Amino acid sequence: MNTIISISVFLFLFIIFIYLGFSGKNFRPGDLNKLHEWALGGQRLGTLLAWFLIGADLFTAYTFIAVPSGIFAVGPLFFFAVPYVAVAFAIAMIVMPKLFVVSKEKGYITGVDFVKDTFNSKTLTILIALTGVIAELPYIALQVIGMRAILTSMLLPFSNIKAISDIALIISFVILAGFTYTTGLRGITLTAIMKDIIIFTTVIVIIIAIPLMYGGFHVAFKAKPVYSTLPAGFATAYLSFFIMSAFALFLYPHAINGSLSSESAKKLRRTSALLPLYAIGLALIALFGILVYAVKPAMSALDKFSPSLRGAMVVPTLIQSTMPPWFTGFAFLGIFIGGLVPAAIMAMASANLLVRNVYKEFKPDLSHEAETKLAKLLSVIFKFVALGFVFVVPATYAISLQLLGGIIILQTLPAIFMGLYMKQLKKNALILGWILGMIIGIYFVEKVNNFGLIAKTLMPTPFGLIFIGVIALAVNLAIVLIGSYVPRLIKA
Amino acid sequence: MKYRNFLAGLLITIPLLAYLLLPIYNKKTPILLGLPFFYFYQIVWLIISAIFFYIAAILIDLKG
Repeated sequence: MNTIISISVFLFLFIIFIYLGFSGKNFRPGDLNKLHEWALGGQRLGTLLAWFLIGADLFTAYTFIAVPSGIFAVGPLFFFAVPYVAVAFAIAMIVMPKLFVVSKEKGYITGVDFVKDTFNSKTLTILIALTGVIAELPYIALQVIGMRAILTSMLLPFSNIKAISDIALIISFVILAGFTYTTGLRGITLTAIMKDIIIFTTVIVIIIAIPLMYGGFHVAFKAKPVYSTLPAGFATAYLSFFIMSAFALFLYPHAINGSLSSESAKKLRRTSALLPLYAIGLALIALFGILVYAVKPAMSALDKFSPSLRGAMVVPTLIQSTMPPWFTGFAFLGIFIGGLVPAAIMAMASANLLVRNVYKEFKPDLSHEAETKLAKLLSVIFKFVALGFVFVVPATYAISLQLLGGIIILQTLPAIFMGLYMKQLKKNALILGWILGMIIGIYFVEKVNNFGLIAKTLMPTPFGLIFIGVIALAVNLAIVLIGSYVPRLIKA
Repeated sequence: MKYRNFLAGLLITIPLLAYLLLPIYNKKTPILLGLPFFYFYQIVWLIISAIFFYIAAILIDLKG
């Protein structure tokens, strides 16, 4: 009976979600055969709408599922997600309005459009575009993993959970593909607002109700006293994680896409400035990973899952074992579309890159209509590739690739961020820096994991454990700077 | 104008420093609502960051 109530509420809200998605077409209408109308919503998002959209971009199923599961398993190290967001928005409010102004002036739709125009190199353009696409794929796959965790939790009484949840995922993706194809960013923005309202409500209810029912954080930290502070030796790991993740965040194509859809540079800057408030929700969800230790029924329910699955099940189980069934259905729908909405914008951003910055490099005479049509089609294909990826590749591998994705996306920093400020950078230096940064990053990641399944991205150094992204980016930057400025000095 | 830019830069830098100085907040006490200092310090700074960043954003826009 409880399951039926949860599922009914879930389905009812999902229908509203579909309605909102398709009604995006009439929301500040524009000609959806133009790429900037479809992909950037005609650049008409004011401070508040952009706040929801960029928020939806950045706080995804990965945040709702992976961060709490990391805290549950390892403890305070994963709280780096909090300073990471604050630093990311500090960077965003400085860099992104600048990118926005150039883009609006020159009609760029992706970050790579800027790279292409500034450095005038086909090789560099394609390399940076493909880096974005490759980094995005496991990110989308993780959204699916988060959605599957919700379905697994909700369908627990059924015997054939896997089959039902796979079918449910396919149906959800067909619907999602349907409305992103027809309404583009407008539909995504409207559904993002619904998603946020549900998730914020859930977070507030849980963070108040559970401490009242089970005694709260005092009890949780009594059960897990070692989680009170960061253990000795992890300071450099914590710092390097949050600094590098912050730099990586706005290099992801979907984050750039979200920023460029703002109405003006001024509104974009104000939106970014206010986004740390959104992160309070993130911090509280992260704490669910500790709070769960205070809730006995949740802990015993978690024991029934295999250790590899347990992490992803922390938040769904905590909700289900403490809340009435109707609220569970409500909260689950929020987390479910919390994966679906970002997946849509990631697929859209990847499709834009593939069409504008890879395909068009070989076929420069592509018409605007054909370009938009192709981008819409590819965004559909890309979603199903990511879905297929999850069906074929075990969840643990997808998470590994996501860790690697953070390191590879950092290698686009010199071309995109530094390119905005330093016009003297040389394209060949950028290409060489990218290649060596990639090789070193991937090599060290493989090395610390003994060339097996990637579970760690930290490396021991004389200063302590450091995130490998720092080392790979340092090598890349050194080559870019030496290659761009030293020849000039010698000539002078 | 220089003064305004400097102030905006300062307002953006202060929260970053607050997070970079890890030894200051990597402590168990004081505890607030059951949360060790390590956790609630970082959450409180999110609110301060948003306020500081927003003022900085206004200052940057003013320079016109």
